[in-house]
Amino acid sequence: MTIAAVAAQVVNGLVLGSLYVMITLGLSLAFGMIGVVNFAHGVMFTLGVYVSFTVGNAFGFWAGLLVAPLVVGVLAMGLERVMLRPLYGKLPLYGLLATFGVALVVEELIRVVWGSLGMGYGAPDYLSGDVPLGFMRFSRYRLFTLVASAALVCGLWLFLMKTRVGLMIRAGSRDPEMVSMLGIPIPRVLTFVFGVAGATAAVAGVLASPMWGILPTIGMTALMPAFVVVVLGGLGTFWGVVFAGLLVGLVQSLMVLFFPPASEAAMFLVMILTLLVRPRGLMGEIWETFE
Amino acid sequence: MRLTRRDFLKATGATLAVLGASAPGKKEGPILIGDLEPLTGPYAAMGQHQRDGVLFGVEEINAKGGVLGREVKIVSEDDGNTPSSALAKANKVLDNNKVNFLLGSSNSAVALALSKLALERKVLYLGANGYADELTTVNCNPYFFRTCPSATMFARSSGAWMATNLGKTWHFITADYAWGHSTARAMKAVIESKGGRILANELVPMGTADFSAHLLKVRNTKPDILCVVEVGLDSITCLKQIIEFGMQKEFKVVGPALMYEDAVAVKPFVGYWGVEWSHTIATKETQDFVARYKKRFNYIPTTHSWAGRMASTQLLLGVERAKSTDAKAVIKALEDGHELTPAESLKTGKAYWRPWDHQLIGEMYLVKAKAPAEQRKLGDFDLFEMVTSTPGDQVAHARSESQCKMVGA
Repeated sequence: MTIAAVAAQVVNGLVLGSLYVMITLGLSLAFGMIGVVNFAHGVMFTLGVYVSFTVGNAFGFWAGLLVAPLVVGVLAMGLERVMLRPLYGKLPLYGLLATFGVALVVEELIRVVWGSLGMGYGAPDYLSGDVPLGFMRFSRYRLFTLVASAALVCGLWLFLMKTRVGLMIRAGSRDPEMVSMLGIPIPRVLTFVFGVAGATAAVAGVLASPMWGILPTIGMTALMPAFVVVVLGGLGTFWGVVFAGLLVGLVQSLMVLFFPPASEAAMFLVMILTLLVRPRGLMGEIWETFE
Repeated sequence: MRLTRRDFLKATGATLAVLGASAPGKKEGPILIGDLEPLTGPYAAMGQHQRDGVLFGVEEINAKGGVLGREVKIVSEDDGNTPSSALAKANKVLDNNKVNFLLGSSNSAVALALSKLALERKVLYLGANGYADELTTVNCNPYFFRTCPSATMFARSSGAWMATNLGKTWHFITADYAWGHSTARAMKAVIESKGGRILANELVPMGTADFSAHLLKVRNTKPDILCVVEVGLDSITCLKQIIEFGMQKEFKVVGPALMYEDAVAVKPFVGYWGVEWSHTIATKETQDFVARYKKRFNYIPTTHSWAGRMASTQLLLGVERAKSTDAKAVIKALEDGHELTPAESLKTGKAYWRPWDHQLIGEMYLVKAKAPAEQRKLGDFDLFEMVTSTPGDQVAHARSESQCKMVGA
C-alpha cells in the first residue's frame, strides 16, 4: 500500500464526509430544537433531487440549486405546521412514527409524479472531469461539493451565531418556556427551523444527485449515515455533526483499503465504540430539555 | 295472453338451459392467472414492465380467441418485493380470486418463497425473474418453471466473449451477497480457461451509496477490464461514479447482467453487458413484437417486458397443449420437449424447456452501449447495439453439475 493510495482515500473520505455533514445538519437542527427524530428528512433530500432535476433541466444547474431548497423548505414548514405541531408534548415516538409515514407516502408520490425509473442527471460541463492533485487525479465535481459544503456549514453557523433569529433558535432550544415568556413566538420559530432543516436536506440532495443518481429511494440511502452521524456527533450539536460527518467519511473510505466488505459496517462500529465511552456522543453536552 | 309467474319461470328456465348447453365454455368462466410483481418500492419499474409484458401476452392470446375457448384474465397484485408479503398475496389470489396459476416475481428470494408455496399447494408457478442458480438446481421442484436465465448462464456467456475479445486482466467490483459471489465465481472459471487473469475482486456491501473509494483502487491495479457485478440501485450508483471519474476512457467497462431499468439512469450509458433478451434482436418476429409493444405501452420493451410476456404465453400454450387447466397436466405439457418457435421465444436460435430442471433454455446476448450521441433517439431504452449471442445449452448448468431432484409431484 503506497502513501499515494492512502492520500487518495483521505481526500475522497473528506469529500464523502462533507456530503454526510450537509445531509445531517438539518436532521440535527430539527432534533436539537424540536426534539423530533425526523424520518422524513430522507425524502426531503429526495424531493430536493427531483425538484432540482425538473428545474435544472429547464433553467440550468444553478437555478435548480436555488429553487429546490426554497420549495422543499416551504413544504417542510407545512409539514411541521400540520402534522408535527399537534404532537408536541406527546411521546417522541408519535413524531417518529408520523414522519416515517410521511416518508413512505412522499416516496410513493414521487414515483407517481416522476416515475419509478432512475434518471440521469449530470453536473454542468465546467464542473465535470478531473483535476490533477499531484498524487492523483480527482473528480472536479467532488472538489466542488467540498467547497460548497464548507460554505453551507459556515453560512449556517454565522446565521445561528450572528443573527437575531439565530439567537432565538439557540435560546429556544435550551429553554423554550423562558424564551416564550420574553414574548418570542416559539411555535413560529419551530416552523422556521423545520423549514431550514428541509432546505439544507434539499441542498445536499441537489449536490449529491450528479454523483448518486436520481431514484425515489435515494433519500433512504442517505438517511442511514445521517442518523449515525447525529448520534456519533452528539444529539443537537453543530460542530459535533461536522466532526462526526467527516470522521464517518474518512473511516468508510480508509476501510476500503483494508477490508472492503466492511466499509459500510465500519461507521456503525465507530458509533458503538464511541457510545460505550461517551454515551452523549463525541461533542454532546448536557441538554436541559432532554434530561 | 297473460303471463303467469309459472309460465315465466318455465320459459326463462328453458332458455337458460338451451344457452347453457350451446356454450359449455361460458359456464367454466375465464382462466384466471395471479400475477405477483413489485409494483411499489425500489423494484417498481421492473415490476410494472413485467406486468405489462404478462398483460401483453394475455391480450395476444385473447385476441386469437383465448385458450380452450375460454377468455384469460389477470389478477394483478403488488408483491411488496419481500417473500412474506408475496406469500400473503399469493394465498389471497388463490383463496379469494380462485386463480388457476401463479406468475411473476422480482427477485430470487421472492421466487424461492413462491416456488415452495406452489409445491405445497400444488399450483403451477412460472417465475419470470430471479437469477439465483438454486431456483432450478438444488431448490428445483415440479411446480416451478423459470423463464429467465440463471446467474451461471449470464456469467459464462458474457465472460467467455469478453475474455476472448476485450482484454486479459480483470478487476471485479462485486455485490457482497450470494448472487454477486456465485456470478463472480462462475466468471472467474471461464475467464481463466480463456487465459485471462483476475487482479482483484472487490466485494462491496449492498446499499453502498458511494463507490468512489472502491473505484479509486482500480487505478492502482490498472486492469484491461473493469467488471461490474451489481444490479439495481448499486449498479446505477457504481456506473454513475465510473463515468464521473472518467474511468470508461481508461478501462473497458463490462458486466455479466444488466437491467434496462438500471441502464436508463446512467447518462451517457457505457460498456459491454450480458442480457437475456434485447429489443435489438434482428429477427422479424422480435421487431414486430417491439413495434406492437411500443404502440401499446409507449415505451421500448425491456428484458422484464420480455420475461413477463414469455411467462404468460408459455403458460397458456402449455394449457392449450394439455387441453386442461389441471396443474399436473400443464406441467406434463411443458415438459414435452416442444421447441419454441421464433414468434414464441422472440429470440434467435433454439429455445426449449428442460424437463429435468424446468429451466427455459434460450440464447444469451451481449450488447454494448451505443455512441453517446446516438443514445435515446428512439426512446429511453434506446441505449444498446447487439454484439453477439451464445446458445443457451452451452452455458447452462449441465445435468452432471446440477443437484436438481424433482420430488413432491
